[in-house]
Amino acid sequence: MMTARGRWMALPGLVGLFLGVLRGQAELSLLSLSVLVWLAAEWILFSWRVWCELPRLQIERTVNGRSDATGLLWAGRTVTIIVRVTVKPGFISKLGSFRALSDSIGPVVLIHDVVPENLEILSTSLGDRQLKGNQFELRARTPSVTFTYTARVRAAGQVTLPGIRLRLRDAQEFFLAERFIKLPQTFRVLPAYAEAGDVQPLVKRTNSLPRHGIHRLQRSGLGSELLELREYVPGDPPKAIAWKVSARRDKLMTRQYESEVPVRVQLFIDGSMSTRLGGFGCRLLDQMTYVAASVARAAISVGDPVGAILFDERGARRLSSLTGERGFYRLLDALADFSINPALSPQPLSPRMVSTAMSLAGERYPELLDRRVNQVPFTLWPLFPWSRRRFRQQFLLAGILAEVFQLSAAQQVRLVHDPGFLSAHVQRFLTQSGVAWMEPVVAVRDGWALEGARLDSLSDALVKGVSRARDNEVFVVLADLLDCSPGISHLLPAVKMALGRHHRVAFVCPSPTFQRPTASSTEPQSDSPEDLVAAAEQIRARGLAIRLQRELRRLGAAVSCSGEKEAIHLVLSEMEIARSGRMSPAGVRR
Amino acid sequence: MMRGNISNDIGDLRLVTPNADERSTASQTIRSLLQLAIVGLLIGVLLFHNVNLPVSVKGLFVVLLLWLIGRTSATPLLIAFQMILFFREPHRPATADGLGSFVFVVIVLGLLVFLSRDRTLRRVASRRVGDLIRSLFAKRDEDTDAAMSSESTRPATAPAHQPPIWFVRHIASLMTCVLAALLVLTTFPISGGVERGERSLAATKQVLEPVPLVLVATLIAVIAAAELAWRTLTMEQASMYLRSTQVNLLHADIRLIVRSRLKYRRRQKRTASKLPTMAVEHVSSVGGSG
Amino acid sequence: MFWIREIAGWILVVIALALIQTGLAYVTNLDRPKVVEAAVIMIVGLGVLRAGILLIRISTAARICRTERSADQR
Repeated sequence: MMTARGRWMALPGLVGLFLGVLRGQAELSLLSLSVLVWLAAEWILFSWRVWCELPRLQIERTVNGRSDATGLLWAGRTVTIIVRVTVKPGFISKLGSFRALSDSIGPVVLIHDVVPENLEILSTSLGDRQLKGNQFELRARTPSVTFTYTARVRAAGQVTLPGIRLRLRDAQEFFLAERFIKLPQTFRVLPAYAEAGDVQPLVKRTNSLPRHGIHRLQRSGLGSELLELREYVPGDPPKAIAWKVSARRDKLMTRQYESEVPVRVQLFIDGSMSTRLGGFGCRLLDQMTYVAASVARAAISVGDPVGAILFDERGARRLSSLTGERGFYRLLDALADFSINPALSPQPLSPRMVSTAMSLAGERYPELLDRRVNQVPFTLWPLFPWSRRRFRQQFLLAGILAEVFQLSAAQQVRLVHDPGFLSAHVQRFLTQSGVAWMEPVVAVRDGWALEGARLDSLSDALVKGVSRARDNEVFVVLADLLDCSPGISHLLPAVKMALGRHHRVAFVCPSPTFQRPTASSTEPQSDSPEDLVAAAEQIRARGLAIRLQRELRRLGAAVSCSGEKEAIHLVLSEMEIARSGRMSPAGVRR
Repeated sequence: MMRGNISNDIGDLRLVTPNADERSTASQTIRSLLQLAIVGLLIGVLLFHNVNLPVSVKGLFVVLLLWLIGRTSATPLLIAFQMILFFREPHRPATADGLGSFVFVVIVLGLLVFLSRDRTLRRVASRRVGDLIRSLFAKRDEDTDAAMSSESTRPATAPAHQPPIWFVRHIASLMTCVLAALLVLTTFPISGGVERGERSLAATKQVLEPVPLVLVATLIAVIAAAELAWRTLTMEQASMYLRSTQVNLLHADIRLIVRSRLKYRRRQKRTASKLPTMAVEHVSSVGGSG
Repeated sequence: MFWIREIAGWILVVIALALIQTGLAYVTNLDRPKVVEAAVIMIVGLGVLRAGILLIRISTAARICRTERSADQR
């Protein structure tokens, strides 16, 4: 394809030749015609490169030293990616003198390893600091290119590296050709977690665990072996008071028994639409999976079994109690699968949605936007130029979507004439390409507050969890409840039931601002619009959090409005209370 | 931030990395300015040959032209030379006069090629004068130099990058282009008579005689090139083309069917949404009458 | 089968080129210029050329699809 630079060189050449011929000016004609011949020669050389060089390129990519089509990555960790481009020997290679030219690449090739939004590029390109590390511009002929870059995985779920985009230009930048070479590598991304020692030193003392499911005691946290004597703390059961020792010391002392019953942790994780909105790593679900994985790590490291109920609009999935390293990894696998964004419910089509899809199509399928292969039929309507441009853009996009999803000709035409149908396919295309659920993929946040339905499904899950529970369980509810606080009464009966059966219930409601909604956090840091908007959002979150905390704490449940370490501390404290058999969480920060 | 790194098999890094020669050292700035001065001088000599103007005006014009080229492309230089030739060259019913014209065109084309390829001018034009002066007194970044030079290995086309061979190759290709143009102009001599209205019927016939053959030959060449290029389609492109052709051929019919189906569906939805209210109205009216 | 279509396409292209040359010859013949006849022949020639190229391109694209798919299946 000729670039604007090429066209601007050809135009004066043609005009000069025309005028030179008309006026009989030989030198003007010669100069203009020479320029045109030069352009033609450059076009022939460029076309030769496009036809002969491009199909022979061989590309290899290794991620953390592995080039398999599938693999495993961890959220929040750094990944090292190496891309190597070589040329397969062609028939000209047999001619010795041309081998150096034939078996080499360049010049002026931009090699771009396309990455999804879930990967954050950390390095910059060695060739050009303005380019990101996943791009490399080659400006000389060379037999092979290898470049390395580092990236960070933003969130749990899945990462697919689709392939390499090549941008070929001639030395003068008169001609341009773009190709996308498919090289898909799909990785399951396990959620990040805090190591057990990092969050709370709550490692259980030496213990003889009974086999799973067999309980020697009816009451949780009170074993038969005396561990130590300590001062009485309000909330300790009266039967644990060592009266004789208390009388001797003239102050109340409590017998601390060794716990023989493991604390069972049951995680309830909300994966509804609202928790999946936002950029990867900033979603509420990412905060929840981090807390859930960290709690599971801490619990499993001391031998406590962890179960989970993962629920969203599609229904609930239950994971039975898991222990040991294998169990921990099974839970992480389930969390990773759960973090993958499902198909979206249809959204109204917007021009931004179409333009985003077009730019993504230009990045992933540049060769399918070629006018020779993706033709737009001639129609009289629409008449206005801007409408015609929009029609043309939609037709090109419809062609690509039809090719990608293998639609029929009728469906392809329907894509152009039915906005709802196009919107559904554009959303599918964007989601499959690893685009986060933000505008324009989904509409603004307000549309997703389906409080009633979500609270009902959480309530059902909690009731099921209680019905299956044994003694001494800790229910950890990780859900986006801040926006649901006005309708929290739907959930209260299930919480009351759980608490009434002597289980501990902890709520973790991550904040969209990633900050605990404390009084100090509502102060704007500066007068900039961003800070003021953030402060306003924080004030709103604080109001909702206070209301939610009041309602739930009145029943005796613990609440944390944060998706960070504070939430993990809170859950581990609840586990400690359950383990010790105390009824009141005195001394524990909530 | 970490920087990406590159392995040894890439060839000479000084050739592939623009930053290798983009570093703002004094020597490089001086080299760039010197290079531009030579180019400017050459342009000045060629443009203002036999023109009585003060040197300062000529210099200012050349500097402005170079700045414009740096900001856009080499097109302004071509237009400048074309305008000079347009106004200066006499109307001569003959081909270019010998070696002088040939050399002139080769040099101008060489300048065009050089200014289109070389990024020095673009870099200089994109910088502020203050930065440029500051870079004249900047120290050399020795660490970067050491890092760059330690990685240099065998380039892919080593002989081609050596200056004399590179120069000869480019001169040869330029001369080939000009020779080809000259050949075309010799085959179809221009007379300039169209403007003066002096053409005779016999002369016109003589000019028009090979036109059909030339046009058809050009058409054959274009078709052959296009069809050869067509054979390099990828499978996705081929599939896309077949799909697109089918849709193109049947578009009017399919559009009609799709639109009528959509209308039918919309009508069905509307009736479905009206039905319950109608039923309620019916029940209430029955209750009311009872 | 695709080869037959491609050959047919090339034959159409050759016929079209002959028609175009004839049309051009009609126009450039200054003794007896036949502008109307030339226009008709040129239109017919361009139509045949378009049809021929379409046939060649479709058959080539279909062959590429079939070859690549069978290679994938193998």
